[in-house]
Amino acid sequence: MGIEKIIFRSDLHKKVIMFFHENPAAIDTLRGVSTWVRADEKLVKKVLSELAEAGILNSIQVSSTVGYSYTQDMQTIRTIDKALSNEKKSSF
Amino acid sequence: MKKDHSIEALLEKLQKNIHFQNEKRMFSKVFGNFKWFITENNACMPDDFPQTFWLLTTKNQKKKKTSDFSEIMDFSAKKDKAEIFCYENKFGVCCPVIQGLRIYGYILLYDLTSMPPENLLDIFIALTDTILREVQKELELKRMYDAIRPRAIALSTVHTVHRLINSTLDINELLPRVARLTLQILRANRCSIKLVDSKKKTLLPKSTVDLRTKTAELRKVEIGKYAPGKAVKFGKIIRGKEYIATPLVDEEIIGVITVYNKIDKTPFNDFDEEIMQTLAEQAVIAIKNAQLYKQQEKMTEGSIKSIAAMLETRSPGSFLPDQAFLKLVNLIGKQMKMSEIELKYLEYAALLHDAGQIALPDKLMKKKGVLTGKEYDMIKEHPQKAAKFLKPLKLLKDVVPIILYHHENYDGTGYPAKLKGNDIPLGARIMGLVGAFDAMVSRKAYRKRKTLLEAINEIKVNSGKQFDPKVVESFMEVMKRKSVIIMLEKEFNGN
Repeated sequence: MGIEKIIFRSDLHKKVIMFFHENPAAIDTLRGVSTWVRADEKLVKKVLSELAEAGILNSIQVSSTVGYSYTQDMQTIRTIDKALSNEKKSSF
Repeated sequence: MKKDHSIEALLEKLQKNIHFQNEKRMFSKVFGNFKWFITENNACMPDDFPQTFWLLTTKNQKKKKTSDFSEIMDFSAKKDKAEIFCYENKFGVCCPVIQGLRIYGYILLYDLTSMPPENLLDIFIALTDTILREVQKELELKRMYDAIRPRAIALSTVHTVHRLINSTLDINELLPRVARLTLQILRANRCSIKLVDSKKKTLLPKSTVDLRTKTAELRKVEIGKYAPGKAVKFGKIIRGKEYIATPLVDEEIIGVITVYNKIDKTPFNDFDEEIMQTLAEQAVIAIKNAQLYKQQEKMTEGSIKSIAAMLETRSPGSFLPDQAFLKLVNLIGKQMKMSEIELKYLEYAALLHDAGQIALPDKLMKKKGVLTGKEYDMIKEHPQKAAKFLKPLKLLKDVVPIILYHHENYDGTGYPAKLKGNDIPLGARIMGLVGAFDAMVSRKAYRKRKTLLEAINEIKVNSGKQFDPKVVESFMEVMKRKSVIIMLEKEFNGN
């Protein structure tokens, strides 16, 4: 699936991506991300898995938890940046 | 002059405030369809704002004609009250937005069809003041939120990193994880972790992660040389545009984390230094824990080997298992996807599984012939005896059940507890099979030994009876390996 498609798959997808795009140094758990985007953990869990599968997020799994962080691939970051800016412009 | 964006934001909020919209509706009933706006100064007035006006006295008398609106603004600000002006049969009001000594801007009403009465203006000013306070509070909250949120996110990241790096005590797993997390947080391409050698002269490369290449070069560095060496020598962060080397400081300096090349190609900054300081503090605790755990593990292993060696001196060949036994147990454990720690416990159990035989009389231990029923009963007590000896050693608490039940049979016909199926610990099921196989192929004075093929067949025949079918399956897989057959041939046939 294209990156643009997955960003706008739902409001929550966009919110989670925007959180990591604005805070690229963040590494957080499901609980943490749910707090930052103010959404239900069950819904956020699904979104995090999808974004990790799409390569937008990295997931670091250890025995007790999973940490999620933003991709370090500049090409992907630029694509997301462009998609988010275009969306912002069109919403005005 | 630097623009104060907070004032701009405040005025913008004030302009959009719902009470102001209501106020306008109320004023419209009296003054017709008038216009209004809020501004910081006279630099950006609306296009339709009058060019020339008269400043009025309170008695509706023309006081002064002017084309410079800032004069009216200054006048209202100095007096801290609304000023009325007129132009072409219309009226306007300039109301300063003031709190304490600070003038935030002006609210301008214009195109009024009649002169506003003073009491209405007083109400307007009071309302402005109340709304201003509300908006100020809201803006202050937003400022606080904007300031606190990134710090809260950073704190949460630190907490997550702590959990991620402290979830392992294996230094070989820990160091690459620390390196990867460091790269993630600093948004950089390469991270190298080096630890000080025992002579404290050199930094030994332990983990390097480079996002741009799959293989990363590992280089030793002399303490005092290059950024990593200098960071260790001087015990402080050494920073360049493209690198940042942070010493790992415990009671003494144990190593250094060096990060190179940010992915967005910007230079490393003060904030990166702060982050590295925190990360290094966390990493050093995790590294020390892993090192201590490794030491403890070595001590445990050493103690177990010592116990086994002591037992062996009593009756050589009776207590210590042969190498083939240990190897087979390990290979079946791996085949059954046991974890590293489970394999370790299995190894310890294999080394000590017959330790209970130390309680048997010498005569019985050295007997070369068929055992009597009573003697066999005594032999059958050895797993319990071993468990009793080893129970006080807390570090062997996961090993003892494997030893205690290694003579149980899958169908419940074994001893000492006649456990069945999965009630028998997996390690004990593996040990039981390998023990039986070992007994079949070993040379014993009282029994004819079997060939490898005969023993393998015997194991197969007893699958589901004496042995767990899954363990048998794994055993058969292991036996398919040529290297295993060669090892067994060498061990038991001497060729």
